Amino acid sequence: MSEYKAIHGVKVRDYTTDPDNLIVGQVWYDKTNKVLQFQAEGAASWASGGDMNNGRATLGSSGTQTAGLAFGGSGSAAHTETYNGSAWTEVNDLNSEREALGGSGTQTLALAYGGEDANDAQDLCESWNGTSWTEVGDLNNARQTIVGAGASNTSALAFGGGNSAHTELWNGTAWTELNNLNLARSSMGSSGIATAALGYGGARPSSAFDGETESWNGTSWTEVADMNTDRATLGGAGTTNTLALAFGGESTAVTANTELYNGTSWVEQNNLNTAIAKNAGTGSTTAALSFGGSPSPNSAKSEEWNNPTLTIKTVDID
Amino acid sequence: MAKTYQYCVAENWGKGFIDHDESQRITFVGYPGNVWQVPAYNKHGNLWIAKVAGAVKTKDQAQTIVTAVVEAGQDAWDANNVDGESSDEKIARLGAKPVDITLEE
Repeated sequence: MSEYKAIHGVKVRDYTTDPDNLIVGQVWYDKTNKVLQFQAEGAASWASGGDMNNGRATLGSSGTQTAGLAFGGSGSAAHTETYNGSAWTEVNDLNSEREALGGSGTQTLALAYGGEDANDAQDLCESWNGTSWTEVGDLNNARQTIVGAGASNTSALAFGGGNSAHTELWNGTAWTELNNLNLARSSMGSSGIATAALGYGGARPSSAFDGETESWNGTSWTEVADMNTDRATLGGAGTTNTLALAFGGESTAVTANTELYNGTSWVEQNNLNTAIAKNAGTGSTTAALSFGGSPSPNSAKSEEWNNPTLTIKTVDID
Repeated sequence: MAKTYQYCVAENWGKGFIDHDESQRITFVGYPGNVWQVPAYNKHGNLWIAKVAGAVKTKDQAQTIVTAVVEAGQDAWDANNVDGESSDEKIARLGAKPVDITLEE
C-alpha cells in the first residue's frame, strides 16, 4: 500500500482545529474528530430550508437567504413572513391582498408593487419599514406578473408584467417612467438594484416561454445572452446586472433547472431538489433562497442555495 | 441491468431534510407524492434514506405513486375552466398542464 509520505514527500499533519490559509488539495488529520480531511473546491448546491407558515405561489420577495421577506401571493393573500435562515415568522400583513406582485429591498426596508387582486391588475405600492406596510405612490401602469430590483424601500425598479415593456423607477416618493424593455414580457426572473438590474425569461404573447435576458444600466435595456432553458414564472437572485441566479419555473413542464449568469453567459448549475414554478427568490448568487411556488398547490417549501468558493471535506473510508 | 437510482417516500420536514453536505455529495430529485430519487448502491444515498426514515420503494412502486398524483393534477387542471378563456389564458392563469413523469431504473 502506498503511503502519503512516499507520494508527496511529507507526512499528513494533524491539527485540533482546521489549519489556517488552506489551499485546494491540502490534506490533514483532524485529531479532535478523528477524521482525515481535505480542502476541496466549493460545490454549489440546494438544501432544504424552513417551511413558510402560509403556502403560496406568485408571491413577492425581498432580502437575503438569512434575512428574507415574503409577502402576498396566490389566493390574493396579504400574508407577510420573515425568514431568519431557519424558520419563517408571520408579521403584519399587506394592506391590500394580491398576487403576482413585484418586490424588492431588504427584510426591513422593502417595497411591494403591482400585482392583481381577485378582479383586476393593481397599481398599488406599499412600503415596509420592518414592522408594517404603508401605502405610498402608485405605479403609473397597473400590471400583474411584474418583477423588480432594488436595494431598499426608497430605490427600486419595476419592469415588465401584464405583457408590457414598462420600466418605472421609484425614488422613495414617486414612480417615473423610463426606457422600456426591448421585449414586452410577463413573469420574468429578476435581479439587481435600480441602477444595475437584470430581467430574464418570462412569457411573451408570441412565445409562451422565453430565455431572453436584458441588462439595465440605469438608463436603458440591452439584450444579452439567453438562458439555456427557456421558461417563465421562475425565481431569481443576485445583487447586480452581472451576477444572477435563475431557478425553477415552467417551460413544457415545471423545472428544477438552475443557471448562473456571470456577466457574459448563463452556466448550468446543480438543480433544485424539487421542480417548482411560480416560486419567489431572493439573496445573492452565493447564498440564495427559493420559496413558495407550485405545483403542490400553494407550496410552503423553501430551498437554500450555497455556492462556497472552497469547502472542507472529510475523506470517506469505506 | 444494474439500476442507477433507488427510490423512497419521505415527507420533507423543511430545514435539515436535505443539507448542503448531502446535496454536494449526491443528486436528489424530488417527485410528486413525496417520492425521492437518489443514486443506487451509494453509501450517502443510503445514509440519507435512513436519516429521513424513507420508505424504500421499487421503481414500479414509486412510479405508481407519482403517476397517481400527476393524474390527479391533470384532472384538476382539465376541470378548472373559465367561460370564454383561451388556451393561452388558461395556461397563464394556472400554469401548464402537469405532464406525465417517467421514472428511470
